[in-house]
Amino acid sequence: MQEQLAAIEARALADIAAAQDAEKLNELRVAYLGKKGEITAVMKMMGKLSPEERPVLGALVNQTKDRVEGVIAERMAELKRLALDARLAAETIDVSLPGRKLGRGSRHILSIVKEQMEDIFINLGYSIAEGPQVELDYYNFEALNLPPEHPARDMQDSFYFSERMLLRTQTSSVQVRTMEAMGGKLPVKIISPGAVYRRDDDATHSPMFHQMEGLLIDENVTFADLNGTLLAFARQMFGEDREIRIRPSYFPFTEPSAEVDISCFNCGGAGCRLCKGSGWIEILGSGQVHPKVLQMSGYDSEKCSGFAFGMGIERVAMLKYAINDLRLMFDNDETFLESF
Amino acid sequence: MRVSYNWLKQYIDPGVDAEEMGRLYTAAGLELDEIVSRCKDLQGVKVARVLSCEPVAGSDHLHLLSVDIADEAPLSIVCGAPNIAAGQIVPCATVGTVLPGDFEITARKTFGVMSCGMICSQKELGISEDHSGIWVLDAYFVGQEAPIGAELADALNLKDDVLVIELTPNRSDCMGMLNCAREAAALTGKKVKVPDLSYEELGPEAKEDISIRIEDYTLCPRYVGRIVKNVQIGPSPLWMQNYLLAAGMRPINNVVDISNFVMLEMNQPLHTFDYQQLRGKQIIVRGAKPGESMQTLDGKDHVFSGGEILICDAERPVCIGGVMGGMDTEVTEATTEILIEAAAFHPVSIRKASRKHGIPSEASQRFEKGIDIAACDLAARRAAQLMVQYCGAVADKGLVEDLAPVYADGFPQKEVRLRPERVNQILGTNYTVQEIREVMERLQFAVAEDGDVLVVAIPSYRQDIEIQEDLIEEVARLKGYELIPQTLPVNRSQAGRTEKQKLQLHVCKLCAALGLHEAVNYSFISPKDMDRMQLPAEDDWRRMLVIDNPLSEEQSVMRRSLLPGLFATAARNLSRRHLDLRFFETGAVFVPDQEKPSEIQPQEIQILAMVLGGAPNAAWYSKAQPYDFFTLKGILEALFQGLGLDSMSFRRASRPYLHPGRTAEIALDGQVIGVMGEVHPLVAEAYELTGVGRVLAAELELDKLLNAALERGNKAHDLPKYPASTRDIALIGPAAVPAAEIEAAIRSAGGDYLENVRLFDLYDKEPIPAGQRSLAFALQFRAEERTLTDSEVDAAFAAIVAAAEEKFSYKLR
Repeated sequence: MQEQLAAIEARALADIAAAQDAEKLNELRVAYLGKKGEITAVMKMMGKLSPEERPVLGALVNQTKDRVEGVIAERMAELKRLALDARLAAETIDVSLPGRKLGRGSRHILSIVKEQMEDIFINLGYSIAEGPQVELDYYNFEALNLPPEHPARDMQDSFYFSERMLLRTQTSSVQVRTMEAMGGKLPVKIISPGAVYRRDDDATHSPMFHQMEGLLIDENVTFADLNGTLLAFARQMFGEDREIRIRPSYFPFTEPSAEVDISCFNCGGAGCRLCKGSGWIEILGSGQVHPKVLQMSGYDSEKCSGFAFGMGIERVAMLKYAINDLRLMFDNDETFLESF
Repeated sequence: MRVSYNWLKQYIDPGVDAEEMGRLYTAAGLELDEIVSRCKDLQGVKVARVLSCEPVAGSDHLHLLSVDIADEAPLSIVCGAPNIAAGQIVPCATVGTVLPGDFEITARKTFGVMSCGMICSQKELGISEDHSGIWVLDAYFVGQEAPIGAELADALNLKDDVLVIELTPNRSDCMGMLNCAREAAALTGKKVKVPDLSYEELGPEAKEDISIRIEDYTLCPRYVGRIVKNVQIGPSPLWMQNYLLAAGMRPINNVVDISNFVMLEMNQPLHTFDYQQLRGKQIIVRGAKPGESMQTLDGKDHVFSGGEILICDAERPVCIGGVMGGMDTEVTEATTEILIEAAAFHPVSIRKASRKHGIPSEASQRFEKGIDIAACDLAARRAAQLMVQYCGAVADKGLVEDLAPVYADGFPQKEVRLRPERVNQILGTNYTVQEIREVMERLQFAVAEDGDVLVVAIPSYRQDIEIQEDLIEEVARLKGYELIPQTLPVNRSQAGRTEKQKLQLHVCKLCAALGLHEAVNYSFISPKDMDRMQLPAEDDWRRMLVIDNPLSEEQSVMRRSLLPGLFATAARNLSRRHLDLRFFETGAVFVPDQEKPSEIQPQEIQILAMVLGGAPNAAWYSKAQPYDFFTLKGILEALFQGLGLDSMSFRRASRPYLHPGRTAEIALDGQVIGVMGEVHPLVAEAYELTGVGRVLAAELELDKLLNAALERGNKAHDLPKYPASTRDIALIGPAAVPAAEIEAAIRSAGGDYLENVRLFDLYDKEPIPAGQRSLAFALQFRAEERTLTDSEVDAAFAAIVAAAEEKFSYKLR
C-alpha cells in the first residue's frame, strides 16, 4: 500500500508541475484530494489493515496529502506570478513619449526680481510702502527739493494731467507720504517698489518702468551706512564676492549724492562687453537725504539723518538674467514669460 | 562740456595726462564720457604750397596742381575743390596717409593724369564739419615763412585731447573752462593762472556813448556794457579757432569767436551789437508786451506772448535777452563799432523763452542754469581786451551798467558754517579738523573759525554751495568716496510684508500655479480701446484720465480695465502662432474724480485680470480640448479655494464686452467682487483674437478678494473619526433652473449630516423631454460623533427629494 501511495504522489507531482492554469490545478486537486480522489481512496482502504498498521499508514497518507496540497498551492502562486509577468511584459510602453502637459504658468520676471529685492531689504529690517501712481506735483517734485522750474526737472520728462498732477516719475513720492504719515517718528525704514513713468521711449527707455527706492531715517544714519547697506544688497542679489563703488553725483533730494557701481559679475572686474571694459556696472543712485527734504516732511535735520536710494527693477532683472532687450519686459511673449 | 586739454593747460599745469585728469574728474563727480583725440592721426598731412593750378582737360571742375611739400620734386595732384588757386598754402595728405574714417590716400589716375595725394578740407581732416572747400592756410602764416613740408598737426598745434564730460545740473559752473581749471586745481593741488585782463582804454568814456536802464530787476539783475571802436572784422587767431573747434563750435570771425571764446572760458554768455545800428545811444531792458514782435538774426520773426526779456534801444527791441540777437543790430562784415553786453538774466524766464521760441543755445543753457552775477564785467573786459588785441579795436573807457539795488553795495560774500563733527556724523568718517580745512583750501574757499565752527567763504562762481551738507559733500568727494567706510546701520525695526502683502503675493503664485502666465502691460491705453470693447457712448469706462502730453494716442488715457492690455497681449501672441493663451495680470485701474478729474487724484483700484483662449496643444495622448467658460471658472474656483473662499457664487449677468448668455458676476455674501465670461465675438474680432475658438476673460477687484480672504482664511478641520454614507440622486426637471440653486436647496434640505454635494452628471438628450434636464448629484452624509444609521440617511434623502419637487418641480428620475 505504501508503494501504491508513493506512486500516486509521484504522478500527482508530475501532473501538478505540468498544469498550466488554475483550472487544471483545481481539477487535479479534486482528482487526488477530493472525496473521490485517489489519495482519499487509499485512506478508505485502511479498514483492511491491522490496528497496528493503521496509524502508521494514516500518518503517511496525511503527510502525502499535505505535500500534494502544498505543491498545488506553490504551483498556483507560481502560475499567478507567471501570468502577472506576462501581463506586465505586454504592458511595456515607449517611455520616451512626452509626458502629459500640466500647463504650467509663470510669474513675470519683474515680479520675481521685485520679490527677491524686497526679501533682501525685509531681512535688513525694511517694510514695503506703497502709494498712488497718479501723483501730485508736490509729492513727486516739490517736497523732494525740486521746486517748479528747477533745471533738474529736465532730467525726468513727465506725463502731466495738469500743472499739479502727473504720473509719478519716481517712487520717492511714497517716501514723502510715508514721512508725513509717520509724523516725525523714528525710524522710518521703507522700500517703495512700483511703476513709474517718464516721457521716453527708445531701445533703452520705456515710458513705464519699475523702481525700488529705499529710505532710512533715524538717529545717526551715515553715508557709510548707505555704503554698507548697498554692499549687502549687491552681494545678496549678484553674488557673495561682489564689490561696490560709489561715485559723487547729483540729485536734488540728496546731499551728498552717490552713483553706485557693482563689480561686474560677468568678468569679475577684469573688463568685458557687459561692463564695457570698465569692470564696473552702474546700478543705482543714492545719497544722504537732503535737509530740506527732511524739514519739509516734518523731520528735524539736526536730530536725525538718513539715506535714500533708488534703482530700476528692469535694470536689475536684465543684468541678473542676461536679458538684452528692455522691450521684452512689456511684450509679454509666451516663450519669454515661460522661461522664468 | 567738451574740455580741450590744450586749452585747460593755459590756466593750470595739472602735471598729469588727459586720461588721468579724466579719472580724477570722474572720481570727483564730473563724469568723463570719453576722450576725443583731435588730429592725432594726421601723420602724413603736410603744409604745402600750390605752385600751379591748371584745368584738367575733359573735366568741368577738376584742376591739376603742382604742389610743393619741400620734397625733391613737386607732387602732381588732381583737385576738385572750387576754391583752389595757385599760390595758396594748403594741407596736403600724401600717399599712404590714412585720414579719419579709414580713408587711405593712394596714387591714382583720373582723366588720364596721375594724382599723388589730396588737398584737404577741414571735414576731411576731422577738424570740423566744414566741407565747403579746401582749407586755405595762408592766414595762419601772415608775416612769417610758412613751414612748407612740415606736419600740419605740428605746424598748427592741432593735436589735442578733448575730455567730454557729463555735467550734473548743480555743476553748471564747469560749463566754463576757467572753472574746470579750478576744479582740476582742487584735485591736483596745483594753482590756477587766472588770465590778466588789463588793456589800454584809448577811446572816450563809455558812458558818453551809451546809457543803460533796467526796468525789471527780477528779469535782469545786472547789465554791463562796454564799447569798442575801429573794429576790423577778420578771422580769429588759429589757437582760438582750434579751441572753439575742440569745444564743438564753428569759428566765424574774430568778433563772434571772441564772444564765444569768452563764454566758454568764463561761463558768461556775451552779446555783441553793431553799435552804429543802435538808436538813441540807449539800452533798455524790459519784459516783452504781448503781441510785440522782432526778427532774430536767423531771419525768423517772433511774436512775443509777454514776459520774455527784451533788450531795446531807444525805439525798438533789438535782442531777445539771453536767447538770440536781432537782425537789425547784428555784427556784420561792415561793423566797426561794437557794444559788448554781459548780463545776468532770470533763469526761468530764459528757460520759458527758449522753449517757446524754439531756440535753445549755448548761451540760453548757461543762463537757465544760472551764471555768476559778480563776474559779468570780468567777461566784458576779457572780450574788450581780446578785441583790442585781435581786431585792432580801440576801447572806450570804463563800463556802463545798471544793477539791482540789492547789489548797490557790492555782491554779498556767501558764508556757510561748517561743524567738523557734523562732517563725520553724516559721512561716518573720522576726518580731523585739519583735513577738512585742507579740503576747503584746495577749493580756494577761505576759512575762518568761530569757536568750533568753520566759517567758509564761498566764491561767487560756486553757486551750488548753499548749506553745510553741500560742504560735507565737497569734503567727501575731494577726500575720495573710496575712503567712505562700509557699515550697516543699527536695526531698530520689526519689518516684513503685511498680511495683505503676503496674501497678494500668494494670489500671484496661485495664478501661476494654476497655469496662467503673468503679463505686465502699460497703465495707459488708447481711447479707441473702449470702441474695441464695444462700450456704449455713455459707459462709465469711457470716462478716463487723459494725459496732457502723451507719446501717442495709443498711450494717452489711463486704463479703467486691464482687459484691453491682456487682449492685446493675447492677440500679439496669437499672431506669433501661440495657440494656447493663458494670461493674468495684476495692476491698478484709475477712476477719475467726477468733478475735477485732472486736479484731484483718481481712485486707484487694484485689479486681478485673466484671459484664456485657444486650447492646450494637441498631443499624442489627447486631442486639443478648447478652453471654455468652465475652464476659466474652474481656475477661479481653485484660486478661491486656495484663499479659503469656498462660498463664492456665480450669477448670470451682462457686460457689453462679454457674451450675453455666458457672463457671470462673482459675488461673496452678496458683494460683487468681479465678473467673468466669454468675450463677445465683436470684441474678439476688434482685437484680432479670431480663429482660436472662444476667448474667456475675468476681472476681479483684488482688494475685495484679499480682504475677504484675510477675514476668513483657510482653517484646518479635524479628520473624520466615523465613516461617511454616500448616496447618488438623479433629479429631472425644468432646464431653466440654475444648477447652483438646486444644489443650494439640496444642502439646506439635507440637514446637519449632509457633508458634501457634488454634481457629477448632467443629461438633457433623449429620452429626456425637451426643456428638461437630469442632474445627478453625489451626496455624502456623516455625523461627527457616531456612525449614521441607514434610516437616518434615508430620512435626509427623502427630505431632499421633497424639497426639489416642491421648490423646482424636480422629480426623482
